[in-house]
Amino acid sequence: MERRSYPTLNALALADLAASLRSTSFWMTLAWSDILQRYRGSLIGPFWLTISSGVFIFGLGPLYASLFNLEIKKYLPFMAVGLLIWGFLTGVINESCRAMLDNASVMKQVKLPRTLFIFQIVARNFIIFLHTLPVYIIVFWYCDLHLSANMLLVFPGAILLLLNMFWIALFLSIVCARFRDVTQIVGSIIQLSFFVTPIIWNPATQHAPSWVVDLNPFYALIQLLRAPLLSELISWKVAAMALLCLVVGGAATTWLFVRARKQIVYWI
Amino acid sequence: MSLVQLEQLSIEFPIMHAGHRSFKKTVLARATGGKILTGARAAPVVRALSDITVDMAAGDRVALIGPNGAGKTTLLRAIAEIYEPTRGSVYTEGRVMALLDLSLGMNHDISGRENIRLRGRYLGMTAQEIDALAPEIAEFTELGDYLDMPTRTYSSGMLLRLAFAIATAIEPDILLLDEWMMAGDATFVTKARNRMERFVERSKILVLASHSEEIIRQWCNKAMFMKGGELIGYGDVGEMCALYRQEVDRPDAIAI
Repeated sequence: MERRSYPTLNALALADLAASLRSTSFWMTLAWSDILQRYRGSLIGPFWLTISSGVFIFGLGPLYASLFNLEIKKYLPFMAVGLLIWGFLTGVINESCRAMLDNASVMKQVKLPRTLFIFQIVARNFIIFLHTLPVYIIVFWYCDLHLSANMLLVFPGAILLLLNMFWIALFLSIVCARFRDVTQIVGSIIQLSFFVTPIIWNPATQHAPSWVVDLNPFYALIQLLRAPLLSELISWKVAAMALLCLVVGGAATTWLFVRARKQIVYWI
Repeated sequence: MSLVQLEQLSIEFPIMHAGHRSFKKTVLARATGGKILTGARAAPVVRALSDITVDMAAGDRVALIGPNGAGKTTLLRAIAEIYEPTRGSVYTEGRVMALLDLSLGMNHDISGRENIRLRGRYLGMTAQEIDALAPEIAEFTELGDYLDMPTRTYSSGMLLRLAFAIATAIEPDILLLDEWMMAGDATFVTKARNRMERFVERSKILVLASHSEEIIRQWCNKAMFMKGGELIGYGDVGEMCALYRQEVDRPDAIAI
């Protein structure tokens, strides 16, 4: 009988990704049913998120504007949009730390691509993020922002952001499956980053060492969406930083995924 | 065309405990050459399967026999490519389905009907296949209006009926079963038994891990005798069962 050689690690990793892309409708279904389930029984469903982020933003916005001595209509849009995007970033990062562990039993019963769970997490959090957009619309209207062609940059910005979130989530899901204490380390980093990253403070109106802003990948990732949503251009510094993250992070993750993919099921 | 080819298949995995799972300890141990923390030394590796070479073709109904820890479930997982080979290769042609745990992919906060969809997807059915099979599955369960209620309200018997109906709805070419699926007449009423028999009969290749000679003789025409991750023998059921009995040196050892 004809013998076939077993695929190489590279081929297996690529096949994993291809299998996930083929089952797009499956992980979209999973992401949706996660959301439906979370808000089952509540009348307004996922729009609870809209309300809770709205309360946070309209509650803290005026306070911080007066603390920082800034005009509310100047301060609020930057802070509000930044917070909504930050919610998406941290949602993906925190959940990806548990991606493999939460799916351990499924992974040991059927053959499923590992990247499927990553697509599920990114999709779920992006859908949740879209549910908070009414807050943005209220801010847009209240603060007299204007529509402009710059806003079209939201599409390339979103693509670049999602690609970056994908590698970050895949990388963390693997490392956290192997080393359980990394989840806590990631949590601490996220907490610190919230204050270091221009979200509730604005480098355009407040003084900060420029390297704190320019070298902060979280700032670049947030700006990819925030700038166009505020009718601003995405600066070349931000675009370059986001691309650099994608290339370096993507390469590191590919290396890790190819080598570790087979082992993941034994770690969980 | 259905076939399973295992060639010098070996599977090894690390047995990790808390120390190995700590990033801090691992870094510290590496940095100090293992002098400070010994808890994070390389995890011991277990060889769960070694050098298994077997061919199965359509019509083969293979029993996996051997003492506990022989690697029977690991082999099922390896054929399903849940575990990928450390060395050697696995090649299968045809739709593979492993039934190791009935409750797979069940979410108890959603309704029975939604669980049919969800679990079907996990088992590799397409949305269209589920649409086509859902009425038949729903009918078999006899759950009626309960199908629209969250499965957490189900009794364990109802849950089993639902899970069983979904799992046995499609027709895989290569069916991998753990013994409990076939065991215990008490668990399954006649109706379920008939469905199970049809389901198993329609598969082109069956691999069944079992301790029960009765079940093996009913369902299988070949057997793989395994011990400690190694293949001791592969051949006719009767021969292998005799070999196994001889090996364990107790005439009744094969029955549980």
